[in-house]
Amino acid sequence: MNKLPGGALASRPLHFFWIVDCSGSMAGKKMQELNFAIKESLPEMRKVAEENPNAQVFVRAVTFSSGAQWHVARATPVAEFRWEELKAGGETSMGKALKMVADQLSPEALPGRGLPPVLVLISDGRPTDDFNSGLRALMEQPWGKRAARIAIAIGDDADVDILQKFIGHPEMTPLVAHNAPDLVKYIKWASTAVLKSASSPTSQMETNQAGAGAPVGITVPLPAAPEPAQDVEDVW
Amino acid sequence: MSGKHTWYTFGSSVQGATHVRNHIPNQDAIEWLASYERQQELVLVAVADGHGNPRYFRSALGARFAVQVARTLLEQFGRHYGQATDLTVVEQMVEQQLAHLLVRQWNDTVDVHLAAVPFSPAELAGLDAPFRPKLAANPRLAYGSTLASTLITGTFILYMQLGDGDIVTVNTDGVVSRAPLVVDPQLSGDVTTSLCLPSAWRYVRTYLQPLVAHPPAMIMLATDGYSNSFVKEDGFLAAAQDIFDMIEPQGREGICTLRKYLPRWLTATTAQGSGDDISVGIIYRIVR
Repeated sequence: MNKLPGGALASRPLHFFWIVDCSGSMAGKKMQELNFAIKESLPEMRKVAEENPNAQVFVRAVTFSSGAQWHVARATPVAEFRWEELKAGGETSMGKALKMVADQLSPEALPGRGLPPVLVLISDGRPTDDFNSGLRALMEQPWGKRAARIAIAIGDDADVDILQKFIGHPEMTPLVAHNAPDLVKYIKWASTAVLKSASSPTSQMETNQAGAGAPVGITVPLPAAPEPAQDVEDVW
Repeated sequence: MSGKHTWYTFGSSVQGATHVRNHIPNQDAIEWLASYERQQELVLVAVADGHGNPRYFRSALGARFAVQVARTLLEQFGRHYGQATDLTVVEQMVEQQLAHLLVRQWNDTVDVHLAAVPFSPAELAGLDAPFRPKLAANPRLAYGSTLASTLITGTFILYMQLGDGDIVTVNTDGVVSRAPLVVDPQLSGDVTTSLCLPSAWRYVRTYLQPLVAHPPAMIMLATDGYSNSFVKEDGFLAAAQDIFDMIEPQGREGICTLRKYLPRWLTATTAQGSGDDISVGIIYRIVR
């Protein structure tokens, strides 16, 4: 009676995607701070994963400039994940990046028992390609719809309306980083607080303002986002 | 009793490994009943999964109410219609009234509780701002829960489910199948339909099956913490088969053994698997 009934057991996979703007306007301080922030958040991200052995966290990264490409293509266990510094240059093919992520969220690629994925989109500009078809491809995937979609806008030139479309939910708005401390804070929040929330199994439905409605929309209870820094001189 | 076989039922509900670590109570619930009064066999099991999400902060109670309401309702239904030979009338009742009764009685139970124990400032303090108006408009959201249940009488088996969870059957050859309920297209990942939604009766799925020559040998009901613990669907279905294979050679003794081991198996399963609460109810038929 020592053997448990049934087949192999395993904790539930949780897939985390960085979707990062590497267009020319990101060059310099913005890219430097972004690389720093993601590297800095990794130990904390690993700690969150270690604290919950019932979730297996896998991380990937896709970048977009003139076209889109995988920066880390393999779903990498967070304990092994390393961040190689990104360089900026080119246009803003955000739609293409979303299509690439959508391909990885198909039911064939991700079995149904997983936890909702976390998608973090970081951009300082507006898409130069067909954003809508990329978003459509993403939202056609059940896991695309159910993912926790976080957007971080860098500076005033970021297209907040487009990022809001990516989030697709009125309860969450893009986090706008006007300076380096904010960017670091938001990246850490997305990779730790959101990850922690996403890795605890809970059920829920999404309801409209009247408390009614069908189960649609985000499924991860999002923790409160950090407040922007005050009196910071270095503003983008 | 039918004279040819007897149905036995038992179950267990364990706190999820993640819930233990985070000091969150078991938000599942289970009820079962096996009654053979006045030669009328009536067996039922109900499992419920409170949503767990912090927004649904009374979902452990909601799950408890769900199984209590299901037990009372199905018992009454079974006593009234359990000997019916013409299942057309039973079918009409199931289709036209049962879902409404279930949801209405759960709503009434929640409303009575809420009137007696209003939300405390501490309960409301942790809520995110966008959810507050929704809860104000529909306070039953705090109690959100699913339900999966099965009733067996002398003439029929009735499956009734709202939201996620699993009901599987095993035939006498040990072949496992899912209960013949329609698939709810709105279930995906951890998103579920719920008793707390307005017009929740629309999401109740039922199936009435005449108790014919070859009824299932076993029926297993489980909250989704169980199936989510297995790498593959086949592994979950194999659990039902393994449980059947363990009981089958020993009959009643096998049931006693399983009853003893089930809680520790489920505790080990949540630790190595989903981390979620797990509830499993078993209905087993022994031919006499």
